[in-house]
Amino acid sequence: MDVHPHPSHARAGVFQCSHAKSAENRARVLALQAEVLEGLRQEFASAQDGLARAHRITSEAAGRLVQAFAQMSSAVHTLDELLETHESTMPAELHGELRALAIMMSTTSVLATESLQFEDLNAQLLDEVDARLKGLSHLSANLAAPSIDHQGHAACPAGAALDALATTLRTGLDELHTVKRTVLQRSLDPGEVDLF
Amino acid sequence: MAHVKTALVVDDSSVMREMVAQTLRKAGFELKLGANGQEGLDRLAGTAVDLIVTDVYMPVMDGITFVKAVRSRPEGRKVPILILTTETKPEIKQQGKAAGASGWIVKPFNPDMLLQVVAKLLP
Repeated sequence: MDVHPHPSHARAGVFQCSHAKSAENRARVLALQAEVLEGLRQEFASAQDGLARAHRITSEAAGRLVQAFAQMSSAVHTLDELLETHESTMPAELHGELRALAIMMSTTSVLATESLQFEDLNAQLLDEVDARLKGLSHLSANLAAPSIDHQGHAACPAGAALDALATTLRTGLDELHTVKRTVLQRSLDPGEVDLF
Repeated sequence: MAHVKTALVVDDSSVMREMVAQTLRKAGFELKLGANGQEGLDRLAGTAVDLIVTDVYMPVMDGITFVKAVRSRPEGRKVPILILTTETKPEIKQQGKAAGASGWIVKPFNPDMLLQVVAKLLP
């Protein structure tokens, strides 16, 4: 459907609608609104699907990295034990080089331990964005609801229906505001420590 | 024979559980693991631990509720409990302190720093 203003309207600059024209315009607006709503629904669904896939992929990658890290840590531990056991029989130069290697790997493991925690921060951030998207999707669908009835005609809720709609929209907004922001970190720098 | 210290690590992130567990294993701890507060309580049933490290935001039972539950048990009154969380808001930290936590560490943690804190709590 053409979402741009009708060219003749743009040229005239004014709307002088007959009853028939008015009905036609209303039908066009309703069709446009329905199309945009459907487009929004699809976009929200696509964004949520993307988030879910990002969550799965990063979790799987982090899980594999953790396994690799565990093996590396085990190797460092074994190397430390071997160095201790064979210190007296090993050439001093070789022992020194292997000791330096073990220290370097130990230092690297500290960095890896800090860095792998990205998965937890990332997962929480994705959950938060997902919750906001769900809220926005729900809200946008409800926001457009009063202007189109089930038959695609213009609707005008009143009384109890209007109150119910207001409550639904208010609840939707409140739910959006209550989505927890559990991750404020902007980097992987280690956080504060506080003993009570 | 020397007493082997045991730690309970509770976090819904398997990566975090493993990172904390590996750090504590290097310091000689035996580990019990749980994915939420309720699992943490289940792991504690009938056994004593020397240290607990728990997250705050978890499904089923959150960390603050878990700390309160541990403190309500006779065997859990004195065990050091470290909260390890992304949360930085002072009011939530206060809730953890009021629940009975011994300390608050903001993620990501540095393994050397964690072991220093543990050494202070378990001389």
